[in-house]
Amino acid sequence: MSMEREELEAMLVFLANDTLEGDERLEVETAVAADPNLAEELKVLKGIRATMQAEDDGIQTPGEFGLARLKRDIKASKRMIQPAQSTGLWRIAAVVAVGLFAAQTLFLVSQPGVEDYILAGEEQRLEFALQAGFVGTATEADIRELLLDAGLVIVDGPSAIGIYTLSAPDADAQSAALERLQNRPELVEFAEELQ
Amino acid sequence: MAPTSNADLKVLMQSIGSGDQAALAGLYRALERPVYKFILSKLNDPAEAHDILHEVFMDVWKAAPSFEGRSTVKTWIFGIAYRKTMDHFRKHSRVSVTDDMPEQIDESPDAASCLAASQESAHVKHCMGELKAEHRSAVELAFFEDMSYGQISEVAGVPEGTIKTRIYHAKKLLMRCLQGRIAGALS
Repeated sequence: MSMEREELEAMLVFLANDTLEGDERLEVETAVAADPNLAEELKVLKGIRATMQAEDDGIQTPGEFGLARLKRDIKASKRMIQPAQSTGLWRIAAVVAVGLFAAQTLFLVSQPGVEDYILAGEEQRLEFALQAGFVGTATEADIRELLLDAGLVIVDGPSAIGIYTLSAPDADAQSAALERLQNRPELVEFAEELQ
Repeated sequence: MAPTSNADLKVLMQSIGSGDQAALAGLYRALERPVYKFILSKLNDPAEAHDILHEVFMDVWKAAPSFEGRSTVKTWIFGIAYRKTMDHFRKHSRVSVTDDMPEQIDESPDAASCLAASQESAHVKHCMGELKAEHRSAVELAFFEDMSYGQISEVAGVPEGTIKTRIYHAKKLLMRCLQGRIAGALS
């Protein structure tokens, strides 16, 4: 399955740090070769990475003092070896988390009459639109309640990386809805006006 | 030279699991700097970062016998550091959620401005500081530590899709912020 535009853009970061492999790498490289905008973005990301890695100088780590403190505290404390007993609980938690994530990803509300889709790769703009992503633990019910409360309808998404395009009826409603979403960090990973 | 390959670090972990303090010192010397830098970048307080680094390696010492090697040693230790740093944020009610959009200069970031700004450490540092902690961590792990999205998802304990979403959003904000810095400097 080919990547949508948003996922391609995210994957540029992993092309820039050279961790992308196999088919994914090939797909992103092909897209970059065909799209000058993606190629420019890749240059910027490589620039950011190089700048961040060069920034290292000057940081004073605890060094040998930190190691001495560590040894002192280990000596002082009676060592406790943790048995591998919690594996079962973690497995259950992981299954629940995966289930919730899948439910969120599958959440799709069709809106009869709303035709303002922005298709992947198109430059078409949508008035009073927002873009949002939700945390992995947000349930379909949580998202529905929040969107209804904020007066938003889903006009596209979730994308392959879980991003929704949302529409408000007018500019005031758009601002108010954005504020509502941004005030719910326990559910909303990010929210912003769609540029 | 400090061991850096996962195979070397795994050998150290096995020795630590058997109570070998010299192996712990070897692991500490190999990973102290990147882990400390990762913590410090979020807290911006060297004293607090020292304490958290200490706690991380105390946890490594205690939990080494149960390390099963499902993830790489580095990913496992960064995961401990990530959780401890986020716990610290929560306990101290530190405002970590900024992610405000910088003033919009244009509808889409201008690549030439972004490229120029991306090469200036002060601009990159400022714009990274504008991101909220979870988003900043994802970018830092990608660019400081050259981790894949799968490894970052293990460190942060969230699905890979969440990491892609965070990276997508963080990248957009960074681009806009960098463009804004150049435009601000020119005006």
